[in-house]
Amino acid sequence: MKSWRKLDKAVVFVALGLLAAIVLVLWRGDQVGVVILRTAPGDGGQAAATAPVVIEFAQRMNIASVQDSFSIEPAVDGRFVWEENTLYFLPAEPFIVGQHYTVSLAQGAQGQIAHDLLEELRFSFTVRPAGVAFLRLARSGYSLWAAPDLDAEPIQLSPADAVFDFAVTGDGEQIIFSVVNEEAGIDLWIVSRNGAGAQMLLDCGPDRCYAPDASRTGRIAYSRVLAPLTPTEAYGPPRVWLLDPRSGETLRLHADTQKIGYGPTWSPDGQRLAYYDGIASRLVVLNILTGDEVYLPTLAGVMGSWSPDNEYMLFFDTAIQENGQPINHILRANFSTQDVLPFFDPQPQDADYSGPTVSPDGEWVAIKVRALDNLANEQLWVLPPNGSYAMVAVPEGGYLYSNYFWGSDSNSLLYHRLQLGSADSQPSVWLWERSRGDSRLLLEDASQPAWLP
Amino acid sequence: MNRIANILGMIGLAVLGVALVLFLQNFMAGQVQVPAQFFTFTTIFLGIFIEAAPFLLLGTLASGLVEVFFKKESLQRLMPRNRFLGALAGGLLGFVFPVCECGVVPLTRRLFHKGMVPAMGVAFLLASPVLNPIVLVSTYAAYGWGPVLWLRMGLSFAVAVATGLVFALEEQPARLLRPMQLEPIRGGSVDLSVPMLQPSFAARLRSALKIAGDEFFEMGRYLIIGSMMAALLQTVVPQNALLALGSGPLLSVLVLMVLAVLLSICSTVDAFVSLAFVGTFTTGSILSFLVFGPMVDIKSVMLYLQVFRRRTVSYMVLLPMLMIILASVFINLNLGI
Repeated sequence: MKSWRKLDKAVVFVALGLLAAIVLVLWRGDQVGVVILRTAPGDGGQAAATAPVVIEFAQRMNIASVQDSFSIEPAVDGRFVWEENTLYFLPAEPFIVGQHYTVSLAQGAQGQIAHDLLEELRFSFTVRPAGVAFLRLARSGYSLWAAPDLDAEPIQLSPADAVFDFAVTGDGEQIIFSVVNEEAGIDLWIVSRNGAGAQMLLDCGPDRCYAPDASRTGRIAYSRVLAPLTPTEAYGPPRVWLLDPRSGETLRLHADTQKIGYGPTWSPDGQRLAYYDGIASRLVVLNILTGDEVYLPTLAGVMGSWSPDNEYMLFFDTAIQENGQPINHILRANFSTQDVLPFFDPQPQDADYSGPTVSPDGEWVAIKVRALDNLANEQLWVLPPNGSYAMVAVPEGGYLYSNYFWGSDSNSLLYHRLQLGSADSQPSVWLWERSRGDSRLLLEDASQPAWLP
Repeated sequence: MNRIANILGMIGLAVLGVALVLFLQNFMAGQVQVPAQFFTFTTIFLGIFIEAAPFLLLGTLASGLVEVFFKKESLQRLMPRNRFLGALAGGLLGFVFPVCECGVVPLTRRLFHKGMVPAMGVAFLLASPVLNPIVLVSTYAAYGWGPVLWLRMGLSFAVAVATGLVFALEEQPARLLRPMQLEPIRGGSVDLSVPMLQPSFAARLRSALKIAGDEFFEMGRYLIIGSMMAALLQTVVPQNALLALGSGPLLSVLVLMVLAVLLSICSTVDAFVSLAFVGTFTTGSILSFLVFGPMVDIKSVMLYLQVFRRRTVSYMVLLPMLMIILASVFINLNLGI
């Protein structure tokens, strides 16, 4: 070997120093651990009964390790859903209103590539009672209102009076609503439950964006009708689009423009999306993860109701009787067995049954029943999912009942009532309680109610 | 060495020709009975070579232009004479020239001829493949204004300057370079008092292009050899086998550094390739891929060997490697990114 020069010595010295530094850094070990970017519900705050528990990590995690390290007090059954680095715990049944819950993630939960959780993560929340969001007819159209709880005074949420429809996010913190714009299109807006921060979510220009639905994991789907090229042409069919609320990026659900649909509705676990295909006259249930589709033929054109365990959907179909009159009947689509069966067995022919809505605990179904000899005589019935018996929840005839939704306790049923045969009738919102067996008026001059959990 | 390079270069060209013929034959006849691995090899080889060749051309063009249009004295006035300041300036010079790791070698060699101090040359050589406008834009396109972009730039600059500073300790810079790179000694007692005629711009441009052409073919041989070696290693060592080892704060760094050397992809596109590792590999290891790959890979080492002595090249590989391992492991264990 040639004689050592200054450079050689320096290189050896620097290299040894670097090696020593590498060993030192490795010996000190992990100083940061797994970084948690976000948790929800907020620590010490109030949360909706339907809110998912969310933990967003800065890196991919070892799923088994994290799920084993997760606990909630008092214990609640539920399922885990992962979307990239975010864990969603979706309780099988809504949280109990007024109950205080504590979520913890034990120290040592492992990251997939390098870090472990160095300290236990702990946060708690209290479940708030639900309120009601609804539309109220104003001078130039509908406006969006909300009562933060059933006894509170409603406040107006929408800044303008041209609201078309709305949907409440799964955590109950925000409301997405559609507003008719100056180009005769419909934009999507978002506002917090207390009316703060109303802002446009998606500028649709002359297109019509409506019927939004937010999954419990934060995805938004909506119906979109593209504006015609010239004003004299008619609007085309609606298609289902997706919207990322964080980036504002929006794209069609299907790249194939021939696939049309409207009224997208997420399954409770956010893994499936159902919509109605008006050309093929069927409900389409799309598995977001696998891309598999299930078709449920129905002429009714109305979305079904998911079971809370995502296992089945109740929907109704329309048939034509011998006398030429349409009649509705309820069906049950089982996704695990891939079959569609009548809800009632045998199928009764004495009445028209439609609009099934499954309660959050899966124990009850609310349906609309109309006598065949007097279709104006509507009633709301409540019965178990096997249809073995029924309670007539809302017996008063002469009214139109719609938008009925179960409360998180599966005891109360919120519904919209409009008197038939009267030009002066005002729409109103009512609440039926199973434990009391009767209804009470909640809001006058209110339409399209929805729970604001 | 030159003779061996010539032979290997000829083999490389022959492979290139055979690959083209086979491709055409395969295309026209529909089937060719050749082992699948050979097609993998030729595909990878062509991918690396075709990607890198334009940048080598760009670098040799820059080299030719520097040779013809910049007087040695003018450049020497611009370049710091202080060896330590030279290392710093070499790192900063990277921001100016849009050349990747292939193009920077002929340009650096030319700048050595023009009097650049080796410390500055080493820093420039290591920094410019990353610290140039094209790579800045491509990294921004892949990662946005985030920690990956800034850490890539900052770490590359720091490693290049630090390595240059170590080389500044060499008191006799000629010892770093291969003998053929040293400028012949000029002098004598004859004073040419008759002023020489200045060639026209077109003539000087032609001269620059000729130099660039000669240099392209000279360095191109080594690019072909380096690309062949990288393709061979990639064919023999499957990427998936390496990626399966990708966890842990140190191992993930080592795996992606090895992968960077094997892949030998140009620094202008490596940010997009590295996106595939996000979420699977640590941020530190991705940075090591983005910083070490442009500084050291198979084809660039082959090119370095045409300018520097082997001992110099080994230092130019060793020091950045250790610095980047240290920085990447530190990032993995101490920064929550």
